[in-house]
Amino acid sequence: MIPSQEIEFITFLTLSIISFQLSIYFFYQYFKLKKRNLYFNSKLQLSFGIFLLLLITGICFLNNVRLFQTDVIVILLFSKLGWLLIFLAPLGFLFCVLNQQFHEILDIKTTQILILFNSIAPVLLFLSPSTDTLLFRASIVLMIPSLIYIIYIQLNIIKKTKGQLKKRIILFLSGEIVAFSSLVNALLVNLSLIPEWSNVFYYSGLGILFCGLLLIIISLINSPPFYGLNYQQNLLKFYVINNNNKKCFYFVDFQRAFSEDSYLSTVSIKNVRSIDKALFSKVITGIELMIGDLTNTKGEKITQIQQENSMLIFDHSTTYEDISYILVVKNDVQPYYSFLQQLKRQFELFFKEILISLEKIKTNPEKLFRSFDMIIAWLLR
Amino acid sequence: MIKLINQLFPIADAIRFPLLIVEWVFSFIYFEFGLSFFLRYYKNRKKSKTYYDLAFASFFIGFALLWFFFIIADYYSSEVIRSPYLLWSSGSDRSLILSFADFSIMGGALMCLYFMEKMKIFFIKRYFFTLCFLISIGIYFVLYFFILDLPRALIYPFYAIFILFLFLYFIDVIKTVKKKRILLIGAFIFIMGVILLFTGFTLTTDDLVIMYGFNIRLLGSIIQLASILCLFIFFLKIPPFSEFDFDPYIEGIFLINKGGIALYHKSFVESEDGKSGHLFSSGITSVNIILNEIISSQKKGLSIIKKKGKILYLYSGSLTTGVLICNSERDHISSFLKEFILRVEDIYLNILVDFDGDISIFRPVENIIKEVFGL
Repeated sequence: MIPSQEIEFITFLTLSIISFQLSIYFFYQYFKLKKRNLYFNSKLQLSFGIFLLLLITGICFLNNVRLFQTDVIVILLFSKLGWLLIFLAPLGFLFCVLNQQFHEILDIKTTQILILFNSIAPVLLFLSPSTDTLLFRASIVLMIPSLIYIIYIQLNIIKKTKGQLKKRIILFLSGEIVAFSSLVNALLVNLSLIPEWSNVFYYSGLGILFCGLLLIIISLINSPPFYGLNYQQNLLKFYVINNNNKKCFYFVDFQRAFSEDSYLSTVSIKNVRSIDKALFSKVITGIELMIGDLTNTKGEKITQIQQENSMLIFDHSTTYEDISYILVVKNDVQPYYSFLQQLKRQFELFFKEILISLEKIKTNPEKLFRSFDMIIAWLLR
Repeated sequence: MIKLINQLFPIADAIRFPLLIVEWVFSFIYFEFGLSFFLRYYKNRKKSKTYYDLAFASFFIGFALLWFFFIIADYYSSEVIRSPYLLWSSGSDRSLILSFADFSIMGGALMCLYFMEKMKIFFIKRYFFTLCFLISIGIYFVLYFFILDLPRALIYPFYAIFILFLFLYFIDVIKTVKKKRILLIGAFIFIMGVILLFTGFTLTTDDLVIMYGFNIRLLGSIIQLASILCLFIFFLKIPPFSEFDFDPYIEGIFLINKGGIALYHKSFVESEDGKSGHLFSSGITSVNIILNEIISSQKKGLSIIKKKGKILYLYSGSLTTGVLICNSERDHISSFLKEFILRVEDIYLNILVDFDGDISIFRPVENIIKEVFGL
């Protein structure tokens, strides 16, 4: 092997390492979010993981052919395998998101048609005797609508998100588009359309891919958690209740927090929030006692109450047994279990030194716990 | 004049390509390690209490650069000795690139020692190892100007200094974490990773390659690749060592509001004169105000008052002042005091802004002290 080929391979290897690391990161996120029942987000992570893994493995095969293989049969086999993996990448993505849960960001029928359309590409690939035929080039064209649709899906996600999260998804998509555009260079190099410019296309393609990956990495660093589409509109209220004295020591009205800039600002602390929390905590404790009595489940704690379209989701502290967390939401509750757990985790982390000595605080706990507003503001950013 | 020596480099053996791939992969991953430490330091630079991230970043980036230069030297540079060669009477392309590699790791290790010793005295006096290393670099640099192809034996003093430092650092880490099992396991994973890294690196040296061939280099490279796994588990799973042991040194701690009221105080030694916390806090507040006035300093920040046998560390936040009374000077304690004050002000913000005089609400501050100072 000549040194220039080695350098070409090493440069590509570096970008492959970054891509594989990114892919592993998506799979790791998938398993982590799956455990937290965040279906929408976990499936998105899985689809990106599969997409990236298949795409980069396919490109690895094509590079292997280009740089190392001389045997005609091996070249044909590896080329077809490489292109097959590339064709499967958008298919894998679309299969993962083909679910009713995603109906707000994609049209199920269109997705099915595109999957069918894209599935023709691997068939054409195996029918074509080599990668120089028109049949094979037609198979590449069949993949393009799926790639465009993947971008369209993400544009829909951007439309339905807000704030910092929206900015991060825009950055992620920009990275993806930049990385996608390097496929043009890959195509020019692998199909040897302009052989004398091959090296220029190769290195500029890798440069473009690197920029795209860099944008994706930056978008993922410290990105706010994604609990699903429109999750903010469905959040209503959050209560932290001390079961020992039946008092609510922290309360936030999310809808007011979204509409009033000063709501979570601790500067306005003198304006005591007029809320129904005192009554609420007593009513909840009363319901719990009554249900426990009626159903002979006195030791058990309520986990969910549904009232028309509103839901009360409960989480009970395992560390501080007298504390319960209640989140009031609209509609679908699945992603909010995770959000409630996040609230619980943050509350217990922020006040851990206070909560272990809660009994020592004689007065004003509500005022003390209002400092949690800054964490809420950060979570809703 | 051109002189040909026993041509080992550039590596033309059958092993060349797999070796190159393994070496490039671990060099790149170590570079990523270094970069991620640097980014972590940069992100936390305002609230960070240690320079460990910066020390690790320097070492790993230095190590990765060393290997990048090794790859250029061993795979793509000629070993043919020319006379004269640039500034020197003789030398080869490979020697020149190897010298860059040496300077990379020297720079990385020097920065690593400096940041480590900035926080703690490891041996005899502060910056002992940094100074020894710097002197060695100075001598090496002077010799380098006369002879490009310096004997590899001249690198050994650097190894000796760094290994001695690592040995003392490991003892220190084990002493610090011995009470916490999770940290102890972490310490062993970390130590194992570093030992694997050094063992692997030693197996890739030219002396061993000349004796045993390139297979030993491949083995060394694979061991270095394996060391990534240990270090990765360590950095992913184990919380950073909070290297502090303030028990014997802190005699008292005070939390005072801007009006001079002691919101919380705790003494770790029996008081000889029985002064009340409130009297002390009023006195300290007055002293702090006077200091701010005479030095025209900002109302926020750190003050240190030293007296024979007693050192007072004062940190003024926007709403409170924390005072630590110590019996001797402690490295880095002020950053822990700062963290304590910032944490109290975050939690008690609403209470402090509108303080009604009830100090019972500050009783849980004891837990914050336990958490921050480990007391």
